[in-house]
Amino acid sequence: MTNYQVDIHPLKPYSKSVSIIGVGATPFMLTKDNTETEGLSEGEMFGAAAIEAMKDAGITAEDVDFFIHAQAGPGWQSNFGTPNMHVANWFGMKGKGSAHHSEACCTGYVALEQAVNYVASGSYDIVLTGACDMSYSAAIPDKPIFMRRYGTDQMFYETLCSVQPRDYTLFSNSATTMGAEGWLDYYVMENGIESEIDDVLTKMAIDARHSAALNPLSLSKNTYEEMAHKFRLESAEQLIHSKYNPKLGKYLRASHFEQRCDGAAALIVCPTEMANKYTDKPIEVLGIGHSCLEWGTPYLEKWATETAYKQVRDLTGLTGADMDLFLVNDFWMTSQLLGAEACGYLPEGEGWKYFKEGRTNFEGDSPINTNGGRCQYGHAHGTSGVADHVEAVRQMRGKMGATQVKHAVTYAMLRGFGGGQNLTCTILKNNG
Amino acid sequence: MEKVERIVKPFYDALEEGKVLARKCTKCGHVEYPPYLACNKCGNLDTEWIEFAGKGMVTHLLPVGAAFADTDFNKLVGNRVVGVVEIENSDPLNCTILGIKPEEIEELTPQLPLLVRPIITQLDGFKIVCWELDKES
Repeated sequence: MTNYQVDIHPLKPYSKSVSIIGVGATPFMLTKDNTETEGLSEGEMFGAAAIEAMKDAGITAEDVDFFIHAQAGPGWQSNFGTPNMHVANWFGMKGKGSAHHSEACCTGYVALEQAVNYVASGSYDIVLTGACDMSYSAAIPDKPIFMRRYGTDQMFYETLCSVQPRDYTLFSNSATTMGAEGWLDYYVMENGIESEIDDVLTKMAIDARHSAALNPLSLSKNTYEEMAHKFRLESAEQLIHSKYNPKLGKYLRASHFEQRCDGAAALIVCPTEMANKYTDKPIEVLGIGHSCLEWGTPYLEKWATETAYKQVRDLTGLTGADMDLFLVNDFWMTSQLLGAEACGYLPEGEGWKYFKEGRTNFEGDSPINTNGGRCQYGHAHGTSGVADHVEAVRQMRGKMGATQVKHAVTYAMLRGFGGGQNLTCTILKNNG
Repeated sequence: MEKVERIVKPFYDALEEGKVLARKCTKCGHVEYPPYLACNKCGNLDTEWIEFAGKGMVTHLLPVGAAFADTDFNKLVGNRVVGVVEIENSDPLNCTILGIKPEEIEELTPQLPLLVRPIITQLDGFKIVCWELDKES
């Protein structure tokens, strides 16, 4: 494979250390399908997450200097031209400064990067950053916001096309296939695991589903074992290989792709020197690496992940092996394996064994995506990255209940992915 | 600035005439294919048009799974797979490789890299560049 790691400038330390002091998240759900949630809209969803994050930090809206709004697809989901202003009045921020950004499925990771930079620059002390995506229950452009329509597969397909540059790449008719399975195919051949990979992916899906089913905020409420019983099948493994879970690629089945849903999440950040005023467990943001490659580049996820990881590793002196928890955007589930190896969290060429042996679930020694990940917890696109930070913070605080990892979490790494295509690598430190 | 140079339209116009255009960096010689304004290798801000008449090497082949099947495109071009094409002095690209059935990938993979040549392909109202194995080599 031709090396395409991009030579970019090293990260410099923040002018001022920044910490997360509050988190909030709605359940990930299909709002339109439930009589109790049908009609929920962006203002209520973003507002609920923001208010929970402020209460978690022990502050009110009066304390917040600025807020950042994020959404992967404000146009197609909500018909918003000014997304931040559609939610500003919902949580007490009228008149204060705010801004919006959108990097598709990497949006939620960039959300933290943006907020940290606002605080590290010295411009503001307390910044709220959050996201809301409702791609399952989309707004109707000329109707009141509580009236919703289904975000259909056709709408999503057009959105997927829209994240590929339309000068040349989109028309190559090949970028998505190579993006989804190219790196995995290379990994399988390189490591000679053609006969092992199906078992690895099966275990990966079953373990992720188990975590998701235990998480009260998750879209998935039952395990694959329970679903197998419902379909009169003998085991989760049989279900994974059944007609109910068709193969959609060379390796990947339906269970290995994202489940679209609605959700919102928010974080509160402030200078680390102020953080202990609000919480006894501030989570410091040590650094965020960031690299972008568009869809036309082969193995873009590999190259940009390695670049972003190198940036944050060189800045902090910490490697993936120093981490106690790894969260990764896995809208195709194999990112759990490939991202973890590229970031040094799992040993190169050996990561597949960790999944097969169950070492990556929340009870294992190398936990990955303890919330179940995009394919099982659900994927609210731009919001999922913020929700990952919520998960990481709660794991670091020891507050995840049934899915709490079995060791102390001092360091966590989050690998973001999405956009067109943004890759980020963030290291958080528990200063509690 | 008196005017902005067009890059995308001339590229597609040239395909109508059977030519594949690229841009070459005036400083390091890196070839931007497909063409852009500046050099993505050395950062130089000036590039110039060249006609791309060469061939490439396909280094990886994959079948198109159901998740990403474009049935209209499949009907139009027939047998196709996706591949990574490497072009001398340029960056590798995800490309469509015509004339290969998915079931042939297993046999072809041990033979990679294989020489490929561009084949200009008509879509609805415009042409694109696909690739095919250069069986004469």
